[in-house]
Amino acid sequence: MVSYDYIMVRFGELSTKGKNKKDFIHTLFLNIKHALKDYDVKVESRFDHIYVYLNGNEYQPIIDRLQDVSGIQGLSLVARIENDIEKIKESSLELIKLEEGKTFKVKVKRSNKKFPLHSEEITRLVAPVILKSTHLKVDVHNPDIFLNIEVRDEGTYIFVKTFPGAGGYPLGVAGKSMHMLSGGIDSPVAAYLMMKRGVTIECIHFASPPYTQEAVIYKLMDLLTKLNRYQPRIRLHIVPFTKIQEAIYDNAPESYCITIMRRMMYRLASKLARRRNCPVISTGESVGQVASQTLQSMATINEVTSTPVIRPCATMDKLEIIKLSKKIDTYDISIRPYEDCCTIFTPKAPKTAPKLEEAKQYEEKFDYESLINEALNNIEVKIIE
Amino acid sequence: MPNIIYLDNASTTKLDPVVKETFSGALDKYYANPSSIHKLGQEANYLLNKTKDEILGLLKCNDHQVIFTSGATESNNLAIKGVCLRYKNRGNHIITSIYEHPSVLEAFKQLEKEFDFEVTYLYPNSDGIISAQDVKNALKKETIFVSIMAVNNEIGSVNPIEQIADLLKDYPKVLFHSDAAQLIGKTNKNINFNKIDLLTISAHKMHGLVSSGVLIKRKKIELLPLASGGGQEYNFRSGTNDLASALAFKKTLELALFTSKERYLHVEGLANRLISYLKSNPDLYELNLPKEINPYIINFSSIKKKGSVVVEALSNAGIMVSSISACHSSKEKGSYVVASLGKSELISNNTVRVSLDYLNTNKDIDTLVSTLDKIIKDIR
Repeated sequence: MVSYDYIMVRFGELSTKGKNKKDFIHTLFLNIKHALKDYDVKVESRFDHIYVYLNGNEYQPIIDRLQDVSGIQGLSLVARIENDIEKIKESSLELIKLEEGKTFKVKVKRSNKKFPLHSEEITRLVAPVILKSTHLKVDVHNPDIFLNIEVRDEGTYIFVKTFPGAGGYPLGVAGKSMHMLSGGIDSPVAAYLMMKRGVTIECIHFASPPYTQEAVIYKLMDLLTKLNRYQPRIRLHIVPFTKIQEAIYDNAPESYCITIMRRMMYRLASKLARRRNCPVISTGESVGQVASQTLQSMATINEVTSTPVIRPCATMDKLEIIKLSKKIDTYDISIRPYEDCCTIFTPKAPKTAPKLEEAKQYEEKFDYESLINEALNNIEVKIIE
Repeated sequence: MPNIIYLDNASTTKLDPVVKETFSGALDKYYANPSSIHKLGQEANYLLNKTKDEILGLLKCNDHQVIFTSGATESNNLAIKGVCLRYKNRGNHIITSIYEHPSVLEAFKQLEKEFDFEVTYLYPNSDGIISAQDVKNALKKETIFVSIMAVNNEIGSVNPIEQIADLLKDYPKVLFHSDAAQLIGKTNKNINFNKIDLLTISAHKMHGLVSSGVLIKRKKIELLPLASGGGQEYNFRSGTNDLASALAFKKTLELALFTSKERYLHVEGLANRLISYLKSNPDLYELNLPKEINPYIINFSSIKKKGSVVVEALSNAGIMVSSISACHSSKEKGSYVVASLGKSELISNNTVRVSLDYLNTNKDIDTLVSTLDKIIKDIR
């Protein structure tokens, strides 16, 4: 009796990454172990793949969980048997009988060069057994059932079912980003895209009590709890922003308030990024979506920092972003109607093409450096895990 | 966090320790199902019926029966849909007011949209109330049901429910329901509840348990049950009886009624303190109150600063008040209740509701006033 006892985890782009490969695989191995910590399964790391021994657990919930782990290209439900041609023939027949369909194809891969038969020889020995004992016919172009046989050092794997993985890189291998999180629809999606690319994030949020509500912080915690599926532990820095915002309001004309506010946020974010060893900042900004996200605005705002800013949603349409936010289940939380820093002092006519010189001129009217330092010294940190 | 000053008592109140004791004691002692025929069940059933009689006695209702529910929302729904759907053959016109609690308004809207009822929504008059005359003017040949709240939850209007009931006595086809969630234990008037056909009461607005309420109903009135099942509560509300909650409810009601006049006087003093501050700053605040003020609920608008920001700033200073009714503050921007008084959008979007309680002190109000004064100056 042969059965599907393992899930084979296939790596994504890492197979191209030469000498870092070992580190990448180890990180992925740890991430998978963490993702499956609530299941009584065993994770084995091997040179080409990682295997999850199901240990009697149902496979579907584990596949679902693994599909959220970045750095995985594909997942297969596999049976592991001895490297023995009679066993291979017997098990192939047994397993293919469980499938529905009219046509099949056998594909053999042999990485164990000590095995006495070549790939084609194995194919030629297995296919006739199936043809003889079932009603299945061969179709090499578009088979209903794709029977894979992989002969490796530790044993032979047979599988039919393959599931797509999340792609990207294992979380953590690409370093860390200081992510600006407002609580809207875009910033959680951007955070997810960063994580998917292997980047661990820390989040920075600007709170302006009493203009913004305490409830927003709970909203952020709910959002980050959703993102814990992709990054199990997220640090949230809450920056007290009220004094800065009031100073801007007192010193700049209404139409420049948003530009200067965003400049202050970037100053704070890059200082905090440096302090927390994050080489980059990331945001949910999308080109042209609001006045502060036109190219001219971005340029004028970005001028305050030399830290690279990554904007994963930059060229996405709102509808694409919404689709992703529904996929990662943050949409319903994001649309809770609270005011954030960016909406509370919304001017009737914000500048869509703010001039750098003018912005600087208004900023000079107050001592923002000391306000920024004061804010940085009073950050409240929450860990969401 | 500074000391908490709780001024949101129209949303819910702090549980009275005596009620808590009654409840937890009963949980341990009376665990049998009152519908069971064994000795323990029958004892529970006896106690349940005795408790109902005592509740009716406290309210001086001799023609009624008590249906325990999960609170005012369920009581309102059961009264409104239960009566209208049961008696829809008698007529399809029903009347309520535009400033009812959502659990009344939404039930009416459902009857209007899905069951072809015609609804008249009465607006409060210049005194902020719905008068018996207003109800009379709206009556039609097809009218079968009127629901008017006893006390409005946002502005505290005290509606003349006895007069409305007297008026409707001449129209035997028309049944009268009143949502009295904000009234019981918070009035200095002697009200003859026996005149009211159906009355909603909630426990947690008067220091009782959340998820506990009653619908007091005239015996001869039938309801279409919303929850069918084992036939409990005279077949109008099935589900295993919760004797511990019932006993706690009776205790809550007893405590609320017993000292309500003393409490009212105390709260009146607090309200006057707050109102005199608000009135002395007419450039900053506009009072949104009925002509006859109910001291338990003081509603005003911040004219120069955003109401929601004022509420948040008070919260950060440890003072808990509401901008609009907590039941729907996450959905809407402004107060439809204040708007129904004919106030401008600016005023109805910037409301602050201070709802008082006998547990509050003069010092609480002084702290509120000084904090409010500072906040209004400080925020942009």
